[in-house]
Amino acid sequence: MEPKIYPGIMRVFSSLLLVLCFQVSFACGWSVSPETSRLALFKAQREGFFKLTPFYYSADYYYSTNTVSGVDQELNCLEWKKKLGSQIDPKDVHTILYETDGEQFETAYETKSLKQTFDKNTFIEALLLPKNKVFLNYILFAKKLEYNSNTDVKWESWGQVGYGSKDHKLADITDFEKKIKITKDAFLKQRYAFLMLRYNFYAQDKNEVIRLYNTYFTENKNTILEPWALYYKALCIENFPLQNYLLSKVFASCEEKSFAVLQHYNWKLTEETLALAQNDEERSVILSIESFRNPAPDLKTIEEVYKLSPNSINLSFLIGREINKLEDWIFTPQYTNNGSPSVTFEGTDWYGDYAKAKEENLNKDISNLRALEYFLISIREQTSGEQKDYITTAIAQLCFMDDQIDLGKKYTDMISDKANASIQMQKNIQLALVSLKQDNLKSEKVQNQLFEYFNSVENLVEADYGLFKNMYSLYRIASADFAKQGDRVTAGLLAMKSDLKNEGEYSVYNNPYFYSYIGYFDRTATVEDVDRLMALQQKKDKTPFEIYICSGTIAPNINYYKDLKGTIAFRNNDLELAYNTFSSMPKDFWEKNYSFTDYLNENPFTPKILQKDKERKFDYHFNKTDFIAKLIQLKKQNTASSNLQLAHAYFNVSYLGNSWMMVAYDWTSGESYVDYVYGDNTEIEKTYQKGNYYSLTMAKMYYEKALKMSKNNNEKALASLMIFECNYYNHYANIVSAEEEEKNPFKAGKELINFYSIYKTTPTFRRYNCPLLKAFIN
Amino acid sequence: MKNIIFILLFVTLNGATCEKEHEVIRSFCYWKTDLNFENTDDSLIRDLKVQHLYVRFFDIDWNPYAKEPLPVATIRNTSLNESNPEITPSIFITNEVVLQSNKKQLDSLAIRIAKRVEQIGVNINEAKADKIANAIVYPKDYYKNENYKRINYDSVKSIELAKLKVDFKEILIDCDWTEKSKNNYFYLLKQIKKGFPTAQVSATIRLWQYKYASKAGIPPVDKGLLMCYNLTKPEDFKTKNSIGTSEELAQYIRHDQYKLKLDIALPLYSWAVVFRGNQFKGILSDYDQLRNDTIKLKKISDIKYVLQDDILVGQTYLRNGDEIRIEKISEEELEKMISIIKSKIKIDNQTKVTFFSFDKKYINDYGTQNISRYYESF
Repeated sequence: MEPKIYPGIMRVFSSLLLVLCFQVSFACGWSVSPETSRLALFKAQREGFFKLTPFYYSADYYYSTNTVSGVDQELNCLEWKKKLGSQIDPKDVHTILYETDGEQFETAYETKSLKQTFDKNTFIEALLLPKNKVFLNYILFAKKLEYNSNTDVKWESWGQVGYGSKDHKLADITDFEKKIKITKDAFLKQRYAFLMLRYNFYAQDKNEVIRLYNTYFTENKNTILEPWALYYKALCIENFPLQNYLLSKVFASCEEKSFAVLQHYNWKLTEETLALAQNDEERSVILSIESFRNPAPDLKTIEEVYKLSPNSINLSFLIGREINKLEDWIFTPQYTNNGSPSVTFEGTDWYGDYAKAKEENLNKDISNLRALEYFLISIREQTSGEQKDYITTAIAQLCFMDDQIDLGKKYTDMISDKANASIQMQKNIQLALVSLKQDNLKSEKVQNQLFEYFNSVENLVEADYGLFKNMYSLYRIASADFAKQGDRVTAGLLAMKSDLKNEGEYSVYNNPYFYSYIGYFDRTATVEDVDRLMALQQKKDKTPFEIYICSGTIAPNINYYKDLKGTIAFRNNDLELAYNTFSSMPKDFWEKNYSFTDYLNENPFTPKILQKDKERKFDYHFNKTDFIAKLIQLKKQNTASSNLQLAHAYFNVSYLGNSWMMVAYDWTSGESYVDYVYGDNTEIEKTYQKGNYYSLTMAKMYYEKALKMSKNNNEKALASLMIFECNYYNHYANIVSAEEEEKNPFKAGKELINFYSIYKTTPTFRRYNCPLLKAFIN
Repeated sequence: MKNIIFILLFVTLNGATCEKEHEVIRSFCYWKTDLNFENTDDSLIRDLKVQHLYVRFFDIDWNPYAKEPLPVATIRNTSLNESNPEITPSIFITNEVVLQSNKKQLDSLAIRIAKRVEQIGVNINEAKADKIANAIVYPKDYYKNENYKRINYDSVKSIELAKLKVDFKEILIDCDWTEKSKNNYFYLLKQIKKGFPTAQVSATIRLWQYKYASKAGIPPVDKGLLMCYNLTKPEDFKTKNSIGTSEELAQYIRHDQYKLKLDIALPLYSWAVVFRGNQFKGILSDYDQLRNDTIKLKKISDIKYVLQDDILVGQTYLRNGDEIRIEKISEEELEKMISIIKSKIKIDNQTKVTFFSFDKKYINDYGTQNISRYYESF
């Protein structure tokens, strides 16, 4: 009876704070949730963890789960099989009970086509036998009853405006009690009683629910219906400690209701609830339930549960949950956004405070980590079997988080070879961590061993989608370690791998596209790195590790990387290399890829700033190779007019210009979705072309050169005006608030004065002078 | 690079602010499931001179059991009391519907939408006819009038109802379509257009769809409604305000090349968001109580607070250093946003400017005079 794992996500709202996926029908934009970026490496499991899946720690909403336990339903199917005969396949029972819409069943019955509709269904075949008519009637009644208690469905019909589901035949509920009484078969009697009990629960007849439970379930508890019925009874009890106690019994005896029990559990009644418990086991369940929702450090409960039930599944789960909290608080800030808040705070004071708070929090977390570690070490010897392996791997994980690599390795080595697959996988993750921290990552042998470790996690993912989170985390850490050893190529591919493994979706961009192949390298790589990357892309006999890191991450088209290389060369002002690189690419590359034609479609030799909107034409056939060739030629000419053209070109490749995409792939950093993925790029952008991208340094230099060399007053006027513009935008490039502007207002230089005096008769002056401009002369 | 002064100066220097202002069509979005105006609503409509409402008529979601698109959350009680703004029926369609439906289903969906809009239109007219008939049959203080003679209510109502026609000038379709669903969605829009031969069909345009028009495509409709808000989700720390800031808006509205006449939707609401460092922790639905705790909470600006201690609030563990940010678009910000919109998007007397959404709480919070001023600044 293997539990099934479904990829859907179940979310439950917490009461006071709504910390959930936020839905406004108008929402747009990109972001990733903290749960998406949260790091977690610890996912060792014990047999029986499955029903606790909803209570794994989560960063931003509680009870996030991608699992729905089908165990109780399968038990019910087996009960039917036992009742109607061994020829019945429990899967067929499941199909009818849990996968068939009431309407479909009802229609098939009414049209006498049950056999055809559910062809080869062994359960239907059995129900259609004359001797089983009472059972068929029961199923039909139960299906109809689904509509009686569920008229408030969200679906409406096209036929009428207003609420209310389709026109279904409702079950006749007037003679419920009689139905139970006349049913002779005990199996059916209990089932009718359960339907009636549940019906009365929704009809809010609490006394009747309690009576039905006491009459039909107290004596015969040998069915999965009993804990289900007890759940409804518990909710009808007005004494909250007693309600809690009964809910804890439901929690301990079935899987399906574990989630619902936690929803209805009444908090802050711990002592009163514990007072009702009959034994230590029951006490340990109550304490565990209390802790399953706790997002704060909670070693105290772990210690208490250990005393009451040292081998319990709940104890192991709480330990894992505690480690996941610590991982979130310690790892996530360390490995996302380069470990520091990539934020521009409005006041530097606050930034200082937060840095301090962050350090205080880290110290507190480390001290919590050590307390948990010491506790686990102290109990390890008293545990045995699966519990012992689980605790050993938990200790090892805590050691690694605290950078005690050798001690961690010691505990990893203590994990027995007979440990279950999940604990073995945890061991491999830990061995990978040891290797990443201690080995020479350039060694092929080390790399291939790492691949083996990675692969052991991959192998289990199909059975548990939750492990994507571990792979995301492991590759993120591996990427950082490769980057630390100077291998930005592997680091970049692993970072992309990490993103691919992440469950988070980046809106419409969840499929790799042009920029996702180069994003990491755009921000970190040198031209030499891109050469290495291209060599790897072209390499025929890749090692297993290389095959692994390249799959899904390496660009299918080598020209993506060439374009990046040429762009980096251009950013570095290496025009020759830029030219050679671009000229080795297909001429139509920029017409067919990315958004080049959207942003490289204007004449780069006419400064955008001087054009009115209606004068702009977007029909320029832009070719990067030709553009660089022209720059090289203009540089060689070194005349007043060639320098003026160069200046215009450099103005336009700044972020103020019409050809900024020659230098950057995204206009400015700080807002776009790629910043979520690769981090803020503002500081790097400031260094492009010696600061020209934001501060127009190169444009200004060429305008000054042109001004100096030119003998033509009209050219001089244009150069002067543009020097003014360069100064103006350079000044405001670093001012972000009105207060700063007030303290440091812009002052126009002599170029503007000359523009309004010496050059006031030129055509350039006549065209561009305006009162706004004149106002800058004080 | 966030520099609003700079962006505005850029706009100024480009000479785009010289254009005169327009008398735009004053509009609001009404997005609740119950439309039952009271006198206070009437006076807001009157004070703000609201001429138009986008009213969400129903949503359409994909029913995985029936494997077909079905209507959900249809509007109830369509009564506008004394107000009489022009109504644009608005239909929200989930992306799932567009992704899952086959051509045949899209064809019938378009027909069903037209029929349902007509039915709701009739309901609105019925409410109007009821109102009129009531006033005729039971004039003010009729019970004091000794000679009062009651005329037949039903016949009066049917006469009044016959005078009212369902005649919507525009239908708005709202769907956050993706590259993947684009083709189906655009096909559906064309089919919807056939169902409304005398009305214009418009579609909501999210800002990313505007910015990346070549990827998202331009929907085949008569008009677009550009939604200038929710630029980032609340999870995004890097923005001052996830509902929208002028700086971010400027990053999205970079070009003026959108090939569709656009109406404008602006935000008018507020909430509080919690951050840890730069990480979103959640939305606080009830922050007033916490805000008053001056020991654990330090106010650092008008809208921001920082926690001074670890506390467990409900089911959420808030930590020392966590920031709580009250999000509301300031009046000044809204004005800047309007400037940016005007610099790139053609505004004329036919342009609808709508606020999301019509709610007494938010309208009173901003004040009717301010809201009127926003309309005027177009």
